[in-house]
Amino acid sequence: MSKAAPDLAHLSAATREQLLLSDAERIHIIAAGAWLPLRHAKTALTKFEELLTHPKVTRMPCYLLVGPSYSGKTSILERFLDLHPPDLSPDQETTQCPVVMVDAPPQPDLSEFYAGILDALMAPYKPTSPKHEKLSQVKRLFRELGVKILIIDEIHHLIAGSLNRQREFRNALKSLSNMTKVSIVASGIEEAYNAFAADSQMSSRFVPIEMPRWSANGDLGEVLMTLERRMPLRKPSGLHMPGLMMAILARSEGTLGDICDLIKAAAIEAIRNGTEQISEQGLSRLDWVPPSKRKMYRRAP
Amino acid sequence: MSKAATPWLPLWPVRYKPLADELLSSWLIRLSHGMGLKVQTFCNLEFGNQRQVWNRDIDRFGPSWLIERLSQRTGTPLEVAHRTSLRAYDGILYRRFKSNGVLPWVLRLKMYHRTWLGHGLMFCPGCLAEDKEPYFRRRWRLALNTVCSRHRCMLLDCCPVCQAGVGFTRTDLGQPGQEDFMGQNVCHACGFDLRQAVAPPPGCLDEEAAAWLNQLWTEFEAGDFVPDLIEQLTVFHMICSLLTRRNRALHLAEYLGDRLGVEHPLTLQSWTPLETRSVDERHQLLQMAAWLMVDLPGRLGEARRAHAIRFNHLLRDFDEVPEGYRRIALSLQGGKAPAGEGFGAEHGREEHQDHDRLT
Repeated sequence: MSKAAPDLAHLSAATREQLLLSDAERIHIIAAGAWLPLRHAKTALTKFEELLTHPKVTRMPCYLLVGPSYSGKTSILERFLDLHPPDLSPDQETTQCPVVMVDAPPQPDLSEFYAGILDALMAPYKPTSPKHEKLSQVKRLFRELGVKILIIDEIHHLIAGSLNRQREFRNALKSLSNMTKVSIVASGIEEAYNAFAADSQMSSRFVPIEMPRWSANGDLGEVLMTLERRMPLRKPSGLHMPGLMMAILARSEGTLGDICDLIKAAAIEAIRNGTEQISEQGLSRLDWVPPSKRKMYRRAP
Repeated sequence: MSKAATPWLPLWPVRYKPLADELLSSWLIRLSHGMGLKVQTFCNLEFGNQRQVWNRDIDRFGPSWLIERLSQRTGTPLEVAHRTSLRAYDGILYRRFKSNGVLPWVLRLKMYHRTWLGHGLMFCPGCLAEDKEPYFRRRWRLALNTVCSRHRCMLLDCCPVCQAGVGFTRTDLGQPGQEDFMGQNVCHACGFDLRQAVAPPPGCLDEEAAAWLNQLWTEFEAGDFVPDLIEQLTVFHMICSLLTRRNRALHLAEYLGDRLGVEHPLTLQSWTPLETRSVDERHQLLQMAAWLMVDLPGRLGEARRAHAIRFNHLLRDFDEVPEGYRRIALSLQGGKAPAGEGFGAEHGREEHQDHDRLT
């Protein structure tokens, strides 16, 4: 350990301790990943935090988290949920659950949507009961459990229905927020934004928060430095250096999820082959399929 | 072989704990409404269609499968959950629990499917009005109780508007599409708010008897069920039974009516057991019995001398007679030989049978 000590400035204190672990354990840590406190994520989390203490007003503020697929939307939402877990203490009269997160149903079906909320609240309900009964149960439970924010991920599923069904679903969201005074945070790809923008009341109520697009600049450098500090590799890689940054950006095609996945794969390979650092050569040798090529992969002659 | 452990079940998101002296059925209704479900739907979801809840007197039966599940799903200690049912009075109000017929001191609901035909549950409008969320108490199912000790008023056993018995379990039955649940303070039949009912002050036949009754109830409410108290309750119930029995030679109720100046004793209007009677009938009957209890040997002796009761009535059909009461009964044999040395001719064969059973 003392031998490696001078070269560990590229790692955070917690990561340095992980160097004592076996290769298999280090690979497991890298593969599992961790929350990255990036600037845009922290900004979004701060806005969500404000919703928790927002007074009950006629028109509760709501947000629409928009970004391309694999840009880290769900990670931000899950992080927020982790920060506000339900209080399940058996001594309490009710579970206190300030944040509830559900996935939008595969199509704009309100009964299924309410059932998803009841499932998330771990409440017994009759699956075959009509949607108005489920809605009244949801309203009652929101009140009892002190729900303040309802997070709806994959809201772009909304567009998988006819225009009438889409309108009905949007109106139901609006009514749910009005009746229960719960803020809604919806999240989805850009089609979701278009579906919301179709309704002027929805577009004015849901303030968009856009996920950043990554290019070779200081922000990406910051992300790469953060990633490097958290990868338990014995040697510094200099991921933020222009050459390596460009290589990473080119192969991952600029999506945050793919950037992380690419670096994880390269770091795991670096442990396996003993180089203990990520290099441009290592990246080029990596068995990695860029997102745009995935549909075509293995079909090429 | 050891009993299989109950499988672990997650807590309900709404897990209200029983309120002070709350009845099992009241607790279950608060839980189901708290979760936004009708009581029948909730119980079908939780216990399945095979285990019916609402066509049985669950407060009297206190089914262990129901109590254990509520305890587990609400994080309530099992003994606390058990105390919501009337089974917690096993060995106190009655020696042995029985599932059929009259259970001493436990009011009968007279269930017919899911309706309650009787007046087996009482309420105090003042108590309901004071509750943050109105609920029904266990003591309102006991025949021994006719007066609210907190508000010093009579308890009521039916809606003052429509005279329907209290059926708080039925407020959301047969209401398709109902979204908001009515509180337990609402009459299921006419929608009257029971908190608005006017409860009259309790009538008093005799100050001494009223004080004796009050003392007994105070000791009972304190929950210190010492053997003396249990024996007193047993004897008191036996005396009440003597007042409600149909027997050609038994005129105890009429005698007490005369002694206490009751012109038309409600007690005489039917010969039904105490537990099936209305609160007004019970109130009068309890006071008459209490008047005897104030000085049992002396006043029973007077009643016997007035031919209102015979010696054989005192022990007949009673199981496990407390020793103190048996001594009093035997002392009223009319100066005949002590127990074991024969009975007077006037007592007949039945008295010999009683005697044999007791000795």
